[in-house]
Amino acid sequence: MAHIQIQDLNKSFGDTSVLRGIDLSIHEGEFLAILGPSGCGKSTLLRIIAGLETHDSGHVRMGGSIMDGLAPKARDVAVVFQSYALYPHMTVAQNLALPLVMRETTRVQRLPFMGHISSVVKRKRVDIQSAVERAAAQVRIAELLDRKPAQLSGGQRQRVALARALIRKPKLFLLDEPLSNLDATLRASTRTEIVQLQKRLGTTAIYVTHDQTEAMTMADRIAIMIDGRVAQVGTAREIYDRPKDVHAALFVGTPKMNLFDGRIDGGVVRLAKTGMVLAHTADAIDGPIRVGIRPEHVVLKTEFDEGAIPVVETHREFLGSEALIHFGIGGGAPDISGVARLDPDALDKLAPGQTVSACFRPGGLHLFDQSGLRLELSGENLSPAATTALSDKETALDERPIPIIAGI
Amino acid sequence: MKMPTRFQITRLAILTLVATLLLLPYIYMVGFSLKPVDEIFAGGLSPLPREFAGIANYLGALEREPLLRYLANGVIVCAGILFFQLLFAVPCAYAMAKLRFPGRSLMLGIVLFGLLIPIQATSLPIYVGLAWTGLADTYTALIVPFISSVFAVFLFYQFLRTIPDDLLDAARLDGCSEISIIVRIVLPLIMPAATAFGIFSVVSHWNDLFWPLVITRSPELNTPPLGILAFRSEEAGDSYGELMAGTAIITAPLVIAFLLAQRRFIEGISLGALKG
Repeated sequence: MAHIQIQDLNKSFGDTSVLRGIDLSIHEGEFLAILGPSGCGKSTLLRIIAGLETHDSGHVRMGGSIMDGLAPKARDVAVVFQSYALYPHMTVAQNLALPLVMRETTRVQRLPFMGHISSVVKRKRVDIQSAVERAAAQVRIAELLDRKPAQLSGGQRQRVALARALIRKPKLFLLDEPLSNLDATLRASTRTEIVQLQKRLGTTAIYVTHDQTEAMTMADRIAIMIDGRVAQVGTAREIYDRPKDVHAALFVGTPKMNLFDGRIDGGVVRLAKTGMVLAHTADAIDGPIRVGIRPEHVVLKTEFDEGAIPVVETHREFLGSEALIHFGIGGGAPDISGVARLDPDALDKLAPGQTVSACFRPGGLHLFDQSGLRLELSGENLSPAATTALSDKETALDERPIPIIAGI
Repeated sequence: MKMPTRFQITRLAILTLVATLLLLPYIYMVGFSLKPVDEIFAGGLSPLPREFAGIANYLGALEREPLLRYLANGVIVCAGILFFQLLFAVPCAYAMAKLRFPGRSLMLGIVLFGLLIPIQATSLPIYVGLAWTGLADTYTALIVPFISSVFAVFLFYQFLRTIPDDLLDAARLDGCSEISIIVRIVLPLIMPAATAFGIFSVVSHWNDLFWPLVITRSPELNTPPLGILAFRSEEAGDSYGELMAGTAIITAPLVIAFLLAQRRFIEGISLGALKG
């Protein structure tokens, strides 16, 4: 258990800069997920924390002491690898015992015949054996101890890898996409299990993944890494509701946040291509911006209120508990497209290809400046243009007769 | 049982024919070793003896030359060579395949280049060196020139590259030093390749005539091929039965060893370290 602090960490491989000034602080006992697309440097960061890779500048501190330059075995961290990295020539029991054997016995004590000569060694071996059994019981693989890794299923291997990590009670768990080789059902159940295990042991954990569902469901906090930098650190809720930059906004949420080119002039937020008014703001920052709206914040209606934007459905997806409508904006300009998330019942009220009106829920608008950073226009000032017309009902498509404006 | 297809029958026939052709000299050697001399010279294609003289031939062969001593020499030399080859080649290949250090690719280049140089090219300087240190005509002289094998380094290098880095990183995190990694992880994993290499090495050094001929003079250092040579140069040029018996004795250990390790040998040359 330890408080981890990463300070201005930089790493490059040749000319390629992989990590650029990473600052990250992980509390004692916390479960932090590092979420990012492949190639963003998240695995490199993990390897640096583990001591498997050197860094160019900056510091890694663990429980206050600087770890830079320390060998992996001196750091007291355990890694669960994506490939599990079980030793194929050893049984499960031998796999689990190795970390303890290497740490708790001397070179001489490890010689094969020492167990028969020295009572100290004998006792140590018995201790290790019972530790192996305890660890195996914790992840429910007690009956597999005599098998070789090749005789295990993916899920079982994954458990062995977990047991090997927790057996020596490290200060820090590092998990490198440990679920990506499992099938979907197993992944969901293992997710819960890992979190419960981590909470029970109280060990600090860093979990690297490119899967937002894993990060959001498992972690206390998430660090979004984009292109060698930490874009945002926060709880899943914070990141989803108030993404700090456009990459974080796009990376979290399925389907992706709708992103439109827009501009502000004279306190009016408009779509750049059509000039349609989206919102009014009292902050007078004029210039081009980008406007983000999450699909569930888009409201489609069959009646046209003032300020609503006419959109044409291009494609629909029924997903059971929800439905997605892909649309083009402004009829004549189909190069602006977006997606809305609806209640599946609302689908029936909408004829394919129909033109409907779109507006968005209050607070659903995210504005980003040209460099991609969130524009903090204060909430009161940012008044959605069409919300006045929005009914209280969750289902936006109401039951009144539908005036069809245009069709395709 | 399923009937074999026509393709399978053809394939089997071709393989049998080629195998027989390749084995024919060996079969005749064993056949001659069981025949009395007059029967050998009488001609006839059958390798089976009409009159069995096997015991006389084999006993005669063992009496005429200290064949068992030559076999022991072969074992000492081959075991010594193989031991040092593994001792040096495994860590070297591990370093080249899995560790990062300056000059790594240059080293690999040198290894590849080394594969092209035959022993005959370097034998003279090595001979001079050994003679100068007074080691010529000793077991050391028979072993030393072969203790670093670029072929072994190359073979293990190829094999080790198939071992995932994660496995070695896991071992480092579990507290293994680089030496423990080699002993506990790498060595067990490359066992198939080591067996294959062991067979290559033992076969070539057991059968090597060139270097022992160059470096030794004392008959008590004779390796098995030199033993056969010594046999032939004896005054009796007509004891072909005994000669063949001697040859059979000298080649037998290799044949037996191959038959015992056959499965591992084929595994070693056809698989990487990790299956699947």
